[in-house]
Amino acid sequence: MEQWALRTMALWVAILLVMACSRGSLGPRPLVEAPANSPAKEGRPDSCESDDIIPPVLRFGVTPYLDADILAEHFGPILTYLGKRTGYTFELVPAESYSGLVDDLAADRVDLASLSPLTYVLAQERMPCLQLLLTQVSFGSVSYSGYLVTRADSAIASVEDMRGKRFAYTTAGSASGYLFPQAFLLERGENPEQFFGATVMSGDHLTALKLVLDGKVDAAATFSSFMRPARARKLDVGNLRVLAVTGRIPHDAVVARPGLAPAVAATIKETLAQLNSGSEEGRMVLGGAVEINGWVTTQDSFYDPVRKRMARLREVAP
Amino acid sequence: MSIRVRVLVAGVSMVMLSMLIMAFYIADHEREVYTEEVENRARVLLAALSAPCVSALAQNRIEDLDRIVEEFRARMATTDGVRSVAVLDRQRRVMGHTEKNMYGRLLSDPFVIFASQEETPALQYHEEGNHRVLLVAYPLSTSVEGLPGIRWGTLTAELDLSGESAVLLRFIWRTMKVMLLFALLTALLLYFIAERFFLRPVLKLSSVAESVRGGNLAARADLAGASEVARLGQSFDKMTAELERHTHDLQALVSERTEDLGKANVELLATMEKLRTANTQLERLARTDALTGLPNRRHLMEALPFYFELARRGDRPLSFAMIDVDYFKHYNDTQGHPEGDKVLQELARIFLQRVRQTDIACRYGGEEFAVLFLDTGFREAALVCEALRQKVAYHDFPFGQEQPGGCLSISIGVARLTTDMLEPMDLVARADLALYGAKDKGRNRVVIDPAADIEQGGSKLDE
Repeated sequence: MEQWALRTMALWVAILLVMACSRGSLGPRPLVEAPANSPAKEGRPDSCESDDIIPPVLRFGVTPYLDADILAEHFGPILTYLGKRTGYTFELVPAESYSGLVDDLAADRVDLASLSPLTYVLAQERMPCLQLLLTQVSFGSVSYSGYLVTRADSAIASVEDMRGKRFAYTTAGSASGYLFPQAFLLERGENPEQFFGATVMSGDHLTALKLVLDGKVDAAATFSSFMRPARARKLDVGNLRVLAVTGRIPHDAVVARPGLAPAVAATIKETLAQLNSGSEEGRMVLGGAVEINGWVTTQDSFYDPVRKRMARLREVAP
Repeated sequence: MSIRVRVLVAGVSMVMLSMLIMAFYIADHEREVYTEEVENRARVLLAALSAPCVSALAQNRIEDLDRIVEEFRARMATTDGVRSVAVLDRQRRVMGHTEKNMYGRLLSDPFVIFASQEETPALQYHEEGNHRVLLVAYPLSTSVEGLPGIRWGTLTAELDLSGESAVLLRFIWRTMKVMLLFALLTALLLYFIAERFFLRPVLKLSSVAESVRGGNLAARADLAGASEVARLGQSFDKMTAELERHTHDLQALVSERTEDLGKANVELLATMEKLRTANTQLERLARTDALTGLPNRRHLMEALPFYFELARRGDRPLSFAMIDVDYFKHYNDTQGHPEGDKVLQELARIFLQRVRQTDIACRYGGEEFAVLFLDTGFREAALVCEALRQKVAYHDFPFGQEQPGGCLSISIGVARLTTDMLEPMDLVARADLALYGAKDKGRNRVVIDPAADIEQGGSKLDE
């Protein structure tokens, strides 16, 4: 009996040895071992330097797409939640302007920021080492549509009808309010500078819609998810009509300034990625925000539609 | 059944069989295609429906969900058999449903549990009566280009595929119509090819073979071309030509031989006739005495047993006479053998003249003669013998007077068939005894066998 067991064991050992040898010697092997799962650094040069220190206060900058008090109302609970979860201290910094926020990032005056898509692309151009963390989810989506709207009772029925009419952009730093409508016209073979009779820069989307509803302009550029907040602001959005969709625009990007300790950035990224309106707590935290439903992991190429249009515009007007 | 009918039946059967197989194949394939189409459509429909559902879930506008799914169901019920739609949250609780009073219920069937953990659409079929029902689940999530995102919940829908069979049948029939036409055309083409290159030559060959079998060796198939059948026909023609030539040669040879044989036969018949004549002559010669022309002793010995037996059985009289020339040695010695022979020839002539037609006279040997009297008693025989003796005694032989007694004479012994005789030679022996008696008594006389007289009890005919 013992002999039998020994023989079986010996046989097994022999088989295992043969298998091990054949795998080791016969299997095809690459000449140079590929580095195991080196994480692709999205658009970030390898030479980016970062410090290891955790700043005592993490300053969170927000694009001034709404009034500062509204922004504070929205982002306050989010930063409180982040602080509670990560143990870091956060401070909300409403920026003066889109470009101002980029300057702040470049000068390390803010550590984190939620940037509108166009601002993100510009900032990333200026600071290749900018750390893209997440893309915001609104209305359940990671992107929104740029709209050209007119009054429901307007005689304008098509894009062509807008020729020579008065038109309201938002600001030159807005994707849906400026970049996308300009690129849209260029794609149609029109010169945006000559297409309209007159153009104004409304400054923000609310004002632009007011101008349309008040008849001060014939049409305006805005974005799909702005309709609800506009209604909340007592604007008669039902009296607006969408003339054209200028394209799908990625939602705002949450970034960390170049040089912010990657561990800190990663912690914030993970924490924010867990926060969404799918849970009771998430709904409590995000309840006040303008349709922020959460954030998802993203990559730099996601903002290429914006980059592409920017390049198109620069071709025409360098 | 003719080969044409067979080929037709085989062709049609093959077409039917192929069609049947093809129908099964098409049915199978179409079902797959249909299933794939249904699944794709279900995915597309649910993908479209997922956007407002995600939006509503993300914004926690749960109150919108019932309306969204019901609108969808109402629009898709007839076109896609959408029976029910449900929106579940991450915990598989019903957030929106096309049926009433479902809100908040926890769904825990295995498919829902499985689908709620999947990042891709899930499908499952189940049989319901005689049709299939497709369960589709679509993940409600938001993400960037395949990166991990937010899972809001799951969208599920039930699609009733009861219209499937009708659609499949329509699919199959549509395909089959073209196939059928194609198959028929192919069959026709094949039949014409078979007719042109196979059936027609084969039938021609068959009829020619039949004709040849019937004796018409001049029949030819005359098939042109290099196909196997054509080559067979050409070989057959060559063979028939060969056969015809051979038969012709054979007939010529046979008639030649027949003529020869006829000639030979005629010759043979002539030879046989000659042979028969020769044989008859030989036979006659064998039983005839060469000198006298009388039957010889051999003839007598052959005839005697027959008449002896005939007489005994019929209880008829039979008499026999033995005749000897008296002093013939003396005649020979004095006159020479040629003269003796002349005497014998003369005697034979006398005997032939004197005996009756029913009597058989023969030369017994040397100077002895014998006469067999058929159906004749010894008296009558003795009378005949006495007449013979007298004729001889008075006949004028040359040198007769020079014989002792003054003339050439004969002695005769006569015997008759008696009951004590056992064999023919007994009769001869008795006649011989009587002859010796005649010699003893002085020659030139007729002596009757004494036994014959006793038995008869009759008169004595001596001198």
